[in-house]
Amino acid sequence: MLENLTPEILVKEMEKELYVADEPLALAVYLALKLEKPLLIEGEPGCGKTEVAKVLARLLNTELIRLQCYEGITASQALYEWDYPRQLINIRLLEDKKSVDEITEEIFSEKFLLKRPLLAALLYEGPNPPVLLIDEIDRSDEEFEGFLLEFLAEFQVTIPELGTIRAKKKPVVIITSNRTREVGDGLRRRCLYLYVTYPSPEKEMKILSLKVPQLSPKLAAEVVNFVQRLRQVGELAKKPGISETLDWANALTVLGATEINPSILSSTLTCLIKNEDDLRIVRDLGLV
Amino acid sequence: MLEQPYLFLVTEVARRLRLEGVKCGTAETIDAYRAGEFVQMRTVQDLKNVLRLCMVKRLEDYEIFDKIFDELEKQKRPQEQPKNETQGDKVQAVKTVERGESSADKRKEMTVYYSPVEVFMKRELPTPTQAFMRESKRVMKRLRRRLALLPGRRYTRSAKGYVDFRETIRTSLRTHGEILRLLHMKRKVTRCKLVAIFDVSGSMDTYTEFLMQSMYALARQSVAVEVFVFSTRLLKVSSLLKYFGPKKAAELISREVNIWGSGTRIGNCLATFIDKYRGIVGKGTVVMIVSDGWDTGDPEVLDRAMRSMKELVGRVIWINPHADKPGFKPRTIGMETAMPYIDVLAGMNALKSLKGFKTYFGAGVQPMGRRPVSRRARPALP
Repeated sequence: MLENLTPEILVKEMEKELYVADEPLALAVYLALKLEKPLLIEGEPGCGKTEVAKVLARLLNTELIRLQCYEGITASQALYEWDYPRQLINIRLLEDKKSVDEITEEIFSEKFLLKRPLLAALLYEGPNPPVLLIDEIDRSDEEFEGFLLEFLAEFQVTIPELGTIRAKKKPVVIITSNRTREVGDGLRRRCLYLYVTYPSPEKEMKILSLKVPQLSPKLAAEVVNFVQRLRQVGELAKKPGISETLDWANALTVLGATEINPSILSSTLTCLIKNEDDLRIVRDLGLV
Repeated sequence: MLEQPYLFLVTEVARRLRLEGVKCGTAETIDAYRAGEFVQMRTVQDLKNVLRLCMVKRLEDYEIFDKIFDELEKQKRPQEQPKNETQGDKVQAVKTVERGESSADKRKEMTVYYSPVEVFMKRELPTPTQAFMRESKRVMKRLRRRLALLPGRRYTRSAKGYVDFRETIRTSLRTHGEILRLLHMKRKVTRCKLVAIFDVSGSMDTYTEFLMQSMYALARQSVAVEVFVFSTRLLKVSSLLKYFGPKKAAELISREVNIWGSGTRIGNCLATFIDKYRGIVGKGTVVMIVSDGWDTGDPEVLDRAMRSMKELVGRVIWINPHADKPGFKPRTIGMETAMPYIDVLAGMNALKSLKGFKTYFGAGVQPMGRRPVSRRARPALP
């Protein structure tokens, strides 16, 4: 599939996987595949950044390997770790039977290696390269970002006891960021960059019709209209993303609503607004 | 091989981007060129998307790129222009509306706030010396350590937490390799994120040089430092300070903010900060406000802003230039309002040298090891 891919085909294929990609996004994914470069996607929460990687993995018929970043994540949590408890047990078991050298050889073999996401991506065996999703890179520390740079440049890892491990197939790397911290220049330079924002009404309609087909077109239009109006409100701390729209649409279908009236709106508004202050603002504005 | 015009376009866009201060290296140019081999570009929009994807790595730079590209496009084909142009414009318009601001808006805003720039520009702003940068770096490192709220990379022994296998095995040697006790470790608290908010209104005028220099030094410390300035409105300046020299940065900042002008609205600016940037702060963040507390705004607004600030972040420290003078009492309305929410109030000397820093943040002066108990007054019982 990779050989005769074009951005247009990618749009169609992604739509089959229930993902509505616009032109810049399809182009970005396409070029990331062709140039074998990581793709850094920034944007508002809930706008389908992570989803890109998931859909791509399904499309390439390969595994999605996910590294969720968080504050204080370290190289050993991302790369590999020796399985200490098992090593200890084995030392005990082999103590009488083997020499020290033999035991060392035994316990520092691949059997005792816990593969964390980055190493797993390198060692992945399959016809297609795996998709490596490095999610919310902005939450990790600078040091970790620095370490990641090295990994992304060479796609190899050195384990002192085992030697250097090289990627069998360069994984497709998708990195996402919510911009809670500026991602460093070094990383940016190594990636293709795309900023995703809230969708246009037309695109949102299309997404709804794909993801929540039970919803009547009339109601879908009302939903999109309301959400779009909500995003215009400047004071909101967290504007509803696409995932919130989908939650709401699903809630409406479950409740069997046929139109958006004030009573149903006030009971389901929590699908869209997840913050007490924001709820108050929306109420004060008389949108509800 | 691609045809010559494409190569020319790529290099020209790169050149102009660099002139505007956008970081665009050879790697980006090569990417853009290689991308041309893979993509069939049917419309101008395709071309634009490809170039932007490969050469622009920041949201803030999208606007600059769009401007440069449109200019080049206009020069290139004056005949075809009308059709393509309208299409391009439409896309552009939609995009800017989505992002909630248009360049026209921004420019308008700029002119409104473009007032006493000349006063500012006439003053010679010296480039910070190496010695200053070094000292400032030392102070900031100490500050971030002293106010640390976040676990760092290193571990320390503790009663519970992760099992420290290394130490466990080492101690087991005393008992002939028999493990009797598991030792534990946890991360040492050594870091914090720092957000510095500088007051650059008229009343802070005398400290201009020092403020600009420390802003500059601060922004270049680390990615975990963000710098803001405010007078009547708030502006994030970290990336600006990172990419431009101190002179150019001062020029750009003064153009955007009503700098060294009269009238500070601390409350409103802090409220804007909380509104817009609450995502970048957390319990691991130390917020440093550098201001003399002369506030022309509503104290009520300031009170509310400071309260939410205190709730959002780990620590709030306030640097007041007058606090260096002996017998200083926080008497301005702004200071009085803010006092209950401040963890440490220090003078400007704290930023100037390690010696000054120690007088305010030294051991035994403030119980900084633990999070200070909130001094906020409890509401009286009915």
